Amino acid sequence: MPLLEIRNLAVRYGEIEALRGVTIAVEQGQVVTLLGANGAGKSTTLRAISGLAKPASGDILFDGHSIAGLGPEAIVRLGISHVPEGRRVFPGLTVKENIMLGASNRKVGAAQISREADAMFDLFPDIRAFSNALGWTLSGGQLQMVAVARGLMAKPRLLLLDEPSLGLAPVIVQAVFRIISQIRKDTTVLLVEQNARMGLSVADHGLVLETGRIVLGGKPDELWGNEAIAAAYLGGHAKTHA
Amino acid sequence: MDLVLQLLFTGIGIGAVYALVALGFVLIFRATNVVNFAQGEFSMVAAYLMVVCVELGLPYWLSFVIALSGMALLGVIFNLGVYYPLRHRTYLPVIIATIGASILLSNSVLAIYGPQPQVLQGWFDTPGIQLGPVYLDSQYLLIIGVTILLVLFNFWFFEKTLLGKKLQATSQDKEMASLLGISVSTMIMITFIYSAVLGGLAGILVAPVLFVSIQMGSTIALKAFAATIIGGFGDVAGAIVGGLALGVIETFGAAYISVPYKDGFAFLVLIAFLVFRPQGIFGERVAEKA
Amino acid sequence: MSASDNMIPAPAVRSKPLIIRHLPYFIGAAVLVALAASMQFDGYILNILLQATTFSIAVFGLSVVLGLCGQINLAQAAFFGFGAYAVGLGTADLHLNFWLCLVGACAITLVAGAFLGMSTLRLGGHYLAMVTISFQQIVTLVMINAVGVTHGPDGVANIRRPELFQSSQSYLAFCVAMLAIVGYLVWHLPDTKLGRAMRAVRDNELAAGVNGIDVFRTKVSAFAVCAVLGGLAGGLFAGGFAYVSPDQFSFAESIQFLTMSLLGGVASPIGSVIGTGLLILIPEWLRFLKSVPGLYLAIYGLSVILIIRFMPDGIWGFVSDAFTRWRAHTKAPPVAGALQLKPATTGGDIVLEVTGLSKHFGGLKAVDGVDIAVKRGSVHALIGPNGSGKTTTLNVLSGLYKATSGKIVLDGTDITSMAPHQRTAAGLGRTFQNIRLFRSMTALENVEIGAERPGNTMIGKGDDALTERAMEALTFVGLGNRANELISSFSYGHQRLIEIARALASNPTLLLLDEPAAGLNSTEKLELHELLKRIAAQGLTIFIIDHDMTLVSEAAQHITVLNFGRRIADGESMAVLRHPDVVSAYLGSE
Repeated sequence: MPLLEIRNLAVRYGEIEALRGVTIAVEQGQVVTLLGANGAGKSTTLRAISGLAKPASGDILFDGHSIAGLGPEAIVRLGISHVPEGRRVFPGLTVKENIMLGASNRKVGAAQISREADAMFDLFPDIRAFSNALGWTLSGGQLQMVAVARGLMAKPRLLLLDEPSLGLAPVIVQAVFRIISQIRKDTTVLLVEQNARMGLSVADHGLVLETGRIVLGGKPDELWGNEAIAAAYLGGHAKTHA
Repeated sequence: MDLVLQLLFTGIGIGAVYALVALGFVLIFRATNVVNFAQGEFSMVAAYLMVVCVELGLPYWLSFVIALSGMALLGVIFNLGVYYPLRHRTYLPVIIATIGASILLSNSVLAIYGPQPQVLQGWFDTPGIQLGPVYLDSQYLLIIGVTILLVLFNFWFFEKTLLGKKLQATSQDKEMASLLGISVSTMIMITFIYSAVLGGLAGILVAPVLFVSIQMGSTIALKAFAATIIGGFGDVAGAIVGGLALGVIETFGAAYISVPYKDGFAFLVLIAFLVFRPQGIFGERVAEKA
Repeated sequence: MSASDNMIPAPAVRSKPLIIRHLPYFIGAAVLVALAASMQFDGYILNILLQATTFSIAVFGLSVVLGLCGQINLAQAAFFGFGAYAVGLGTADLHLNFWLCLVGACAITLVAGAFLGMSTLRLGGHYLAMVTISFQQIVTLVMINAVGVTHGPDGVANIRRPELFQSSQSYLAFCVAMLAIVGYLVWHLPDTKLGRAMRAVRDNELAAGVNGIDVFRTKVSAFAVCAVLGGLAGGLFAGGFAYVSPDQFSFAESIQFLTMSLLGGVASPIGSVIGTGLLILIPEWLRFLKSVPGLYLAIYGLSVILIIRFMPDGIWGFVSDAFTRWRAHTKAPPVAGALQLKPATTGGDIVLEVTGLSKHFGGLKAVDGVDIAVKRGSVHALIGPNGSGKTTTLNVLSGLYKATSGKIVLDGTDITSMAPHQRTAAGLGRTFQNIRLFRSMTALENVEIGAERPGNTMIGKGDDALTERAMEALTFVGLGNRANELISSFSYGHQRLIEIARALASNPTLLLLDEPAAGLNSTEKLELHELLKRIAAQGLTIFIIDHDMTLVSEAAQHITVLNFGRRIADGESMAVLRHPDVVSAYLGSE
């Protein structure tokens, strides 16, 4: 049984059909990367899983139980942690406070949380020095580290990562992906990426989303080089050149 | 010089009350992006609750506990009855509803208790102490003392506790807070309860100095709102400094310029700030989220 | 979406002069005035009618400021009081002519309202609410304490009426006539340029500014109009009752005006009259409630909460909503000719020249030294991965953000430091990624606001020319036959077209399109592409941002690519899309 199973999911924002029947299965221990151009519905898929967007039809099963229609607070308690697009680090709280709040889904004492947050800096040594800095003072790469660390504090069984490379310089992107390849050792990850090359480099399985539908899926090396990927990003005209 | 010191003491005392109510304003605004126009009514209702309990012959401390518990309950009812049903609407309907609530609260008390202003005795039997040239009224001392304690508590609560951090997180980004498993509706409920109790405390403290009247709520609320603008809207420290500054300005204005227009100074200061320095003393960017 | 279904001939609706079309209203009003003058009322009924009539005029003011413009005024009783004291003190103490005093009342409230509005309206709603309450309090304070001028709590007695209307009956008829005239003006206001601007500001301030409306001036105007109506009503009230005192103009009265306005329906003068009438009559019917002080206002307070919660549009809003929908579908739109786009050509070969443009948010360099040159008559695209600074660039271009440094020249004019509405006047038209239409209006009205752009050389004088221009633009995008439907009845794709029509109607020099294909399905995208071709064929320069590379590469001759806020490629479309830096920016680098 897959850890996460999405069956024929449709999501609408008012008039707009953001997803029109998406089916995805994520096996325990896998990293699955969801690719696609802007507006294809990648973020919406993650938002539907974490309860921020309500499914219009279809079902979402986590560990065999339907979670479609539950609120975000209930879903994160089941063990799905969503690191949304744009990091969303609380600007007025310090790095450590941000990370500590990641454990809000679990019933543990403040002292224990504080210890766990300190331990988290072992995985993210780059932000240890900024432990007491306020969120708004950090750079994009640092914010991404904080956001992922905060997401991991929930001790998720499934981590949803939305565009971790967004707006980051190539060197920083590589640092972020090094962390993702560490996380995958003990957490299942559903990764949304616009950077196709990076996204597929850590994945067991890749899927391509286009205007609210999955158009392609397979092993990363099968997908890479497929014209459909280049077309999804650069339009039909770049097909032969990507 | 003696008069100046005396006025300064009185001004800080009354300013402390404005600061407490202003703090309540700011906390609710930060959590909900709504200015609660019934904030002053919390003070008024608490003062009347206090009067009722004392008249029933209950001990002062017990009346105090009952009045503040009543305020906590009022905070809950206010959130559920006024704010919560409208939380997805724009700010205009919400502020109109809080204005409606303000009218409802003040006139319900009027209907029940009548227009006659009430007197609430102070906590202490000793009226005050003479310190050199300045006479320190015991109730003003109490107000200043309690305000200092509350400001310290507020700092501890928001900066040192996990719950305080969750409240801050909720006011900064509700969606993200919910993704982390923080119950946003609970956080907003706590904010309303806390603000109602703060407002109530201010009302109980100031009641022996002023009369307990129906109008006291709206008067205090206007001053407190002016205080938040003077300090920088949405800023916690600004609310406290603004409240103290306004108390002092008003006391000096009444002593040196005009007594009947005492309540008008707040308005003039408010307009002056709006025209010349809308971001307030602390220069926070004016963040009006509609 | 094809243009062919717009050929249905329809009668021109606006050909007859307004005064003729609205004749039934004036006949009705005349009948009412005659009734007021001739029916025999006892003194009690007369007083109630007089009160209802004058209060209604004050509540009209709230329907303008709150209903039309979306701004709050909690000091209407203060303005009402200004008017009442101007007439009271003027006629009783200074023995001036009534009419002079009434004009004075209007003038004083106009100045006071404009001043109060100017001090606060830049800051927005919460401030306005609090400042108007404060103003209300200080006016009451002055009325009570400035005994030398106002007679303090004793009030002003022996207020005189004009010679012409000495009897109460004739004075009532005069007030009803005033109500009818003011009511007509307020009723007609939404269809004037100022009224449309107010509605636009209420529906969407950002879009209003971008469509050439001076948002601040519009708000101040609405506030001043509200104050003047309060003053006029107060002046009439003073003449009617011959005696005024401070307690009649307190904060509680302001709340009463607000409740009247909300109960009847804030959007229409009819609602004002209904709300006022009810709240004056109900207390008279239920007099026993008045025996307990405060009970009445407590009920008002509760009503405000309940109305806001359960009946946000008031009684009349409830009734008229159904009526509007019915009418919108039956009224045939006027015929329209072909849309002419004549972009201005004052500058040289480059319509938009951006040099060294930067926008920093704190330490973040969202846009960093970008150069763009858009050739006249071309379709030029700006692309880049998510977060590359495209939308920031567009917002700096249209004036929603201030540039940190750099220069923007539109058709020879430096627009770098202009406000959005000034840039629009200079010839900039734009659409929004998340559609920003004025949602309470019809498609036609939305496009009319675009056509009203200051400096639009393509429309003649008068309402008919405006409607014609707007109809041409709507017909051009294929929606002419649905012109009188409300925005909410259009599909998402059609709403995009209306937004484009709104920009086209203004006859811009440059059209900025912010992700026009976002959220469209593939058929709609094809239709959009066709539309862009037809626009470009008329010589209008288009600057487009979109993620749909197929659309961009087919529609645009020239592409500029941004990444990390900097320009990484610029040139002819096909070459740019094959540029290795562009490919790696989108697909990731090796």
